[in-house]
Amino acid sequence: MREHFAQELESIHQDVLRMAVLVEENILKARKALLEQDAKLAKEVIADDQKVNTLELSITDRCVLFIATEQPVASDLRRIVACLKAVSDIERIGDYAVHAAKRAKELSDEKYIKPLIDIPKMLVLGGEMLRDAVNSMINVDPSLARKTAQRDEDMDNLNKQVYRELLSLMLEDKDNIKQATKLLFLSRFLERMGDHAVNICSWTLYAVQGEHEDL
Amino acid sequence: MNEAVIATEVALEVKNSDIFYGDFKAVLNLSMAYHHREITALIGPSGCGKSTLLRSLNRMNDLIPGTKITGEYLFQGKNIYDSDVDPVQVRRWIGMVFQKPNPFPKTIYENVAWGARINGYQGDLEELVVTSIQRVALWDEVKDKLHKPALALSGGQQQRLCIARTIAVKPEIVLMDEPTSALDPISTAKIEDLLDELKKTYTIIIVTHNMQQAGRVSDKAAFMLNGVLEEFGPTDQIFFNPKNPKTEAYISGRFG
Repeated sequence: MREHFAQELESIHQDVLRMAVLVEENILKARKALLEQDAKLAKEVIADDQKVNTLELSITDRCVLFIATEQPVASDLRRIVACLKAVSDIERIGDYAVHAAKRAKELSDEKYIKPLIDIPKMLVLGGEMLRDAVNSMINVDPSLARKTAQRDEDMDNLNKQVYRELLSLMLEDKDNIKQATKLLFLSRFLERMGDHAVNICSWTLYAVQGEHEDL
Repeated sequence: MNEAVIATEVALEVKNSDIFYGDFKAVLNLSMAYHHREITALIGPSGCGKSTLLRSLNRMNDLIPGTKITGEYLFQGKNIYDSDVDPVQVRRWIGMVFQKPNPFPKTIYENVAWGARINGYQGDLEELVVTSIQRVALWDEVKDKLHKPALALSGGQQQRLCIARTIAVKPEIVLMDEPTSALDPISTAKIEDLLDELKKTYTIIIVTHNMQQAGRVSDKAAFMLNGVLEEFGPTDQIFFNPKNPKTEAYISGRFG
């Protein structure tokens, strides 16, 4: 029964997945652009973000229309509300990939004050957390949601590590301050990717349990 | 009844009731309580026993041959099925509004005055008619044609008139069997607004097939399936986070 209802719900989830895949690709491209100081690739990431924003709006419209026309209740309603909330988190994560790409563009003809190690790790971790968070939502998998949320601690530790290193570089030589500040901001932005992935995990649990759980 | 009864007090309680039509068991071992000044919605697929239950609440099933009802139906501490209780009196305490508006083929005024008059109403009949019609928000539409035939009104107006007729005999409880299923959306909205108003005075029990309506108007909702009360709880919980998977499947339209 309600074939169209089930198909539309599934199709909205597929769009959310598509949006997450696009953002994850952008994160990895931004990482590559940073590591290889590739300004052209960085510009590509910045331009691709428009697709992410467009998808966010179209998914939001579809969710609203679904609520208006299909009147979902109980777990169907919770899942659709979770989608609505999750797309804004995914969009923000996409913005952080753009931040990384912008820094990559700016620094593409500068020599790095240190080899980039932890920042690329943060990008990989952010992409994985995003993927797992969205999978937990689409596959209705609360244990994956909880496990993914725990990885935010690794993200915080990487951020602290970056801060310590850059601080000591700035103390060593004031000429490092300009680039170090940019990298510090970037690290802070990337750390926020983890928080948004955790939000998505919370929405998964909300959809499953019907109540909010602190993660 | 005392005006000061608190909202959480039980208005009517069913205890361990089975309802049979001949050999067919339509309702199985059902127990539930309806609280004062609350709207309880009975939901469930056709044939689940919800209308049977509703009609048992004011002994309307007495009129159907072969009906057997066990258990207790406690109203003000008294079982309404006790042999010393007059079923006509029960229906004064506990009124009913039907699916299809069924005004008498009389004037608008007479429709509302009828019940009070045959009950030997001692007060100002005119005033009773006017306030009853006002309470169902029909006054402005009919004040100039009180002595015209009720059947000339629109379906939605007829249904509000039937509600006015029901409350004119000052019941404690109003039962409603799909009161808006024969009405257009605007008339439906008027009845739903009216329910909100009426629950300040009456306990209302409503059978509805319209899930959104149950969600909008009721304080508590009861889901029945195959004669069994599967889940009964606050409407918010039933529609947002039902505990019983059968309830979830029904309200989300997966069966029924």
